[in-house]
Amino acid sequence: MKRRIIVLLFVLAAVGCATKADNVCQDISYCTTQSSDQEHACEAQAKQLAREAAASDCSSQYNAYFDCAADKYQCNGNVVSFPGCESARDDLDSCLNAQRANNACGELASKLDQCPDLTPPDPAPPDPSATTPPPCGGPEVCSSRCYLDNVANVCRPQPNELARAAQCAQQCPL
Amino acid sequence: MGFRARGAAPPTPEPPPKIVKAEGLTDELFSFHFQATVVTQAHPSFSAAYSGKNSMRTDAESATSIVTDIFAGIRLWKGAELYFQPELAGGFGLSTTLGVAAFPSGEVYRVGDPQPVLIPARLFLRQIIGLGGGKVTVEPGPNQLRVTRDRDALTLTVGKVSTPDFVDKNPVSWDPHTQFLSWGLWASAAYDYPADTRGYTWGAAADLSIDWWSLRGGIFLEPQYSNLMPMEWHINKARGLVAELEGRYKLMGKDGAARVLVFLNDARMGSYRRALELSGTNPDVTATRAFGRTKAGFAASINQDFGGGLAAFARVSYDDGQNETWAFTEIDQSVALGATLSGERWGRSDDQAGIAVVAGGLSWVHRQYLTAGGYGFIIGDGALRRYGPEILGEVFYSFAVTHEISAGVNYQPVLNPAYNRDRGPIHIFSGRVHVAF
Repeated sequence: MKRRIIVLLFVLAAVGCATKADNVCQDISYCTTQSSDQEHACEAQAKQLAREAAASDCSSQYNAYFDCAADKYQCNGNVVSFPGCESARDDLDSCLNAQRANNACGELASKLDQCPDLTPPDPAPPDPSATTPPPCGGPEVCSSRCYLDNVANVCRPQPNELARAAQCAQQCPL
Repeated sequence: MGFRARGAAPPTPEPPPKIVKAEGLTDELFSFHFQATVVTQAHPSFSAAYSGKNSMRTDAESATSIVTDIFAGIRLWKGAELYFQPELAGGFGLSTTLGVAAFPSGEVYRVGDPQPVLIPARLFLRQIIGLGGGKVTVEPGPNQLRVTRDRDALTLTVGKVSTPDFVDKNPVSWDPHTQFLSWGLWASAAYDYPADTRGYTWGAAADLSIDWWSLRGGIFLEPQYSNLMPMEWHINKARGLVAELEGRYKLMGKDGAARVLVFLNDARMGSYRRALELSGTNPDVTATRAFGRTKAGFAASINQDFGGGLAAFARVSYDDGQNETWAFTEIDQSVALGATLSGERWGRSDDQAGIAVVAGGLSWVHRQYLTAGGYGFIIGDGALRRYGPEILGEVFYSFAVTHEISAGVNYQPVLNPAYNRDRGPIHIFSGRVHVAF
């Protein structure tokens, strides 16, 4: 009985820890006077992005960026900024971009590639720049995941699904 | 933001429970107690090379405070006790409670309005779960019904409380109503304990006491803003965690105890380093507030009875001092030592005398912040050209008029007030009247 009580006390003492990304979401919410629902959505997006970063072997860059953002956060008026975190942000975006095959960008691109081509053949010669994939940094990974999570058939997105995906993407913490 | 106050206030303390051998008395079903304390303090003029908006005034001044409490308790079911404590407090401290980190009166609130205000200070449920070890009686007192219970017990408390109700209770120096007045003496000053402006908060705590030792822990709400009344109810955003281990022993047949606590506070604090990065002159720590900032530290204290009414105490406390002082006072390191003597040697056993000293210090970055012209919520002279530890001494004598009424005098010299060697010393004289039944 006594041993159980001691264990319970230690468990209780460990509750309630927020991550740095949670803290950044809380800061953004406080500065921009968001609702608690919006704040929780941001925290959920941040957790999802952490999973994407882990799958892309970018966890250290993810942690470095949010450590920096939590430290350097500034709120002027209702505008949030993280001055001094630009290089950490670039590192995270570069890492996610390089590992796009392992995150939501690659997953979405793969699904879109499997869509039947409904457009008529283009008689013009192919544009070399069209082969360059779009950027895949933190915001793109987050918004791609929102799209994948909210659109049942990426080849035939419904308007309400697109609205939900857009609303989700608005809460991305980057 | 509502109620604006400019400093943490000490709560009316809850006495340590007096546990004696089982007396065979019936348990109390309900109880009422009362206390009122009036303190007047004054200091003559003193010299200072410069002053800021949070400095103690250099000209002579005086200030009076009054704190009254009713302590009501009722037994609900076996082991369960409910307490309610309304408090009426008014008046103010010297220089509106600014300018000394180990502030010389634990009776004062740094409120904008000195008119007496009635607040629900405490409202809490206590559940005692007996764990054997024989029977003991807990004697009645404020917020304590007389009860005979198991010596070993788990005590759970939830409600509106004061953090020092549970931890850092050194029985030789814990009560500014009757003992030492300085904030640096009745508490471990570097423990920035969770509290609103008036020293209270909401929380839950557990105390596991087995024979000679106790393990305590608690989680408490932090204020939304430094030293203000609104509390942050989302504990994922802000909270104070504390754990304490206490051991009780006998030294040459006399009672003694030692305790050590560790704490971790998490709140939307400002960072001194960030404030200095943003502005090298007149930095503003409040402009750098962000969620997830923490303050960690420890506090240790001992008390020893020497017989004949003589008892001594020592306290040591430390916090990392990286982030804004949030609820108590601006001390990052503190050492305190003192003794009390009852009047039984001269035939007045209810009289009490005491002598103590406390030295406080700041973390390096906290010093740099003040040096650059930054302000905290209790100190800030506009600069800190020559840093020195703040040292406060205190002697008092309390004369028992009756068993319920005491009147006393108190003297406190303060060296390097607000850690500033270019100010002071300040000599503070106090008179105190205390009524309790």
